[in-house]
Amino acid sequence: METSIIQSTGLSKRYGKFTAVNELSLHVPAGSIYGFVGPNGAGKTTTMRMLTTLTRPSAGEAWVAGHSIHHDRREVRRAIGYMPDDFGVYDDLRVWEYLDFFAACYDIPESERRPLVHDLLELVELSHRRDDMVDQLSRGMKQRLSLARTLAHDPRVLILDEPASGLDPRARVEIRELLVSLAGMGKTVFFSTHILADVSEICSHIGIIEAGQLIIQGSMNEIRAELMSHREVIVTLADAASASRAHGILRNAPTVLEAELLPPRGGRHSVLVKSDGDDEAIGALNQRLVNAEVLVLGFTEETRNLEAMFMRITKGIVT
Amino acid sequence: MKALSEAAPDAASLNPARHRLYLAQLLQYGLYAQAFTLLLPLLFTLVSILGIADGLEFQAQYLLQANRHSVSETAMLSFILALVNVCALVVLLVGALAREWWLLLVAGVTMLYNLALLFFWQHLASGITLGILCFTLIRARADLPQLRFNPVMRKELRARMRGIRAFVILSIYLSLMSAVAILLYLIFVPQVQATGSVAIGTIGRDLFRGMVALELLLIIFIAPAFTAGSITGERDANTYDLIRMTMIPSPAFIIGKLESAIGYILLLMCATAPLLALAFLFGGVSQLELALSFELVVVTSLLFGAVGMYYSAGAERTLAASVRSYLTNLAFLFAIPLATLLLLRIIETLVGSSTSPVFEAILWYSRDILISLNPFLAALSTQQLLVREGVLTFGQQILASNGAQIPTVAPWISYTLFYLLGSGALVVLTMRRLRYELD
Repeated sequence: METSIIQSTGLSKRYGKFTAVNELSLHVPAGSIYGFVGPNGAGKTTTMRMLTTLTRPSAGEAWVAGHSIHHDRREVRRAIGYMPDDFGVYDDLRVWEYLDFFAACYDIPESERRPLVHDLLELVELSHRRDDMVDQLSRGMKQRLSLARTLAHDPRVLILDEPASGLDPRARVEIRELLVSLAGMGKTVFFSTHILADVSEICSHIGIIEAGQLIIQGSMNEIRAELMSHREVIVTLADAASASRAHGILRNAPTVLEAELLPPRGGRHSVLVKSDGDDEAIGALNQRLVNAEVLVLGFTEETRNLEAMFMRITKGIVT
Repeated sequence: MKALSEAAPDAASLNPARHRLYLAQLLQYGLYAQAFTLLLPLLFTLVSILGIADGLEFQAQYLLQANRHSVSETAMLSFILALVNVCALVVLLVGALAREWWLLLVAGVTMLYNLALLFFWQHLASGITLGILCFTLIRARADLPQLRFNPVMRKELRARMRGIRAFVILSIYLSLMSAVAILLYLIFVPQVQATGSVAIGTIGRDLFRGMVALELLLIIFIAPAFTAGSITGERDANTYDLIRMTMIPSPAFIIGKLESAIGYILLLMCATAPLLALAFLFGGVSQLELALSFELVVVTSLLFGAVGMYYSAGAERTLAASVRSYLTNLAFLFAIPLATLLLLRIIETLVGSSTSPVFEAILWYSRDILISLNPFLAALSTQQLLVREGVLTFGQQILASNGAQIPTVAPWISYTLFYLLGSGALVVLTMRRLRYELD
């Protein structure tokens, strides 16, 4: 059993009669990248604010790095690097001053702050903007600067609320890469999003929340296995002849439920294969095509899977 | 990435138990002990009045003696001296809670002041304060390296001095002050021309008075403007949650904001110092008066800054906080002088040879307290006392009822003490308002 670095039982938040978060029981394993997915208004931000001790829960308990959010609030804050969704930056400060200020607020001595700020800026690739004013940065850069700020006190857990929202595609990819490299440094990344592509690309674990309730959580593989009866693979081929050959081979292969010749798109021919096999069986399908000397241009698992899965398990209740 | 892990403070230094310095805890106990010394003069007066025991009275007088001979004078003097020490300890406690380096400076000055009292006035009660301070500093010496420059102050001053805003405020402030100086001068010129002669000292003094009054007025409105947005502003800008997530203790946050406001006000005052010095050209104003005016303005900005801060902690929007602080300011500016006038009328009509001396003394002291709650009254009567009676610290008031003399304190002293204690109390109240949020 993995050890949970964030754990909650019966965590709830009510505003009058409205229940924003209802009896949430989260388990975020140490070292994971946990995608917290849900539609807008599902209670993602409220949950994160409770975990960071910024909002007092109406009921329930949670522990971050072993510290209770009720009793060891300072220790919890010490363990967390938090980036809210709508964070502000001080426009009148320079980039390095901004980081220096927060490092000082974390009691880091002055002599250690200079190399720290240097390292942080290098990590988020903002070293060249060190002396610029914060308000001259683009939104993506501000997001990276904010991420650097969350790292100033070397926290074990990063709680990031919609870290990629409002960013252009390039900046989104950069943030995503940063999250992966942070997980590589041993940090647990717990982030919320409603962009499913982010989740399927980088997450090891996922939790889906809707209308304040956690619908499902677990590792990506577990959830895939649990929810999808089959996997879908798209095989791309050079011409119509090889497409029909491939179709013939794959249709009769073991573990294949169905193979469908897709209409050609952009001059490419492709076959959609539905299989209930594991990774090995999927690999064997590719091997079979190669052995039959069919020229394969692409062999990819369909990532829209996740969207289908998401649509199936959420009921579309948006509060 | 080496520095990343090295620079992270070790868990022990951020342990919640260590979050509040031992130094602050000791100073808190010291403050209680010091508050107890306020009772000594009262006890002494009681012993003297009742004449319970000559020996005891002698002991008490010896303890509190400050080269004064009358009972009431000794009691008054030692009460004020004890109050000064209470104030100093409040300031030290706030400094320790916020981990401010200037705590050492204040501690040093307080010790020197008490040493002086002990040696020159044989005021033995000073020994208590000295004892408290020495004990605290020695026992909590391990905490001293934790004292530092306030990061919030540094950030605020950096941001405030950038861009055009700081320059514009300074320019407007100086233009206003200069305009009033010229106006005052132009008012005096026809007087000179009409009479052919004028006491040049009067011009200097009136000019000085007008400038200090304007300075006080401006500060009373500028100080809350700087602080009323200190917490609501962070809320509005969505930066407050980021601050809350850090390890910064609420006193450090509050004091940092207050320091930056006062730092800027000090800059304004330094910039106007040459204008005030114009009064020296005419004469009639001493350097002492200039120094006192400076002191009064600083203390005033401290209290009114703390008022803005207090409302900022409780309000959702900066506007609400500003409105509330300005209403409070107006009460201070208008209600207190009105009450003082009323009291003076009462004194005028009631006091005569038939009133009881105790009642009369109470009336006079109430007047003094009211005067030392309002910056203008305090400044004006301090100057009058200084110029007319040459009283800088302690004076006399002759009772109309029986001709006895009661000791009085120069308003600037009581004003400073009240305002320092008031600011300390407001900082503590603000801390309470932010307790859940920041600690």
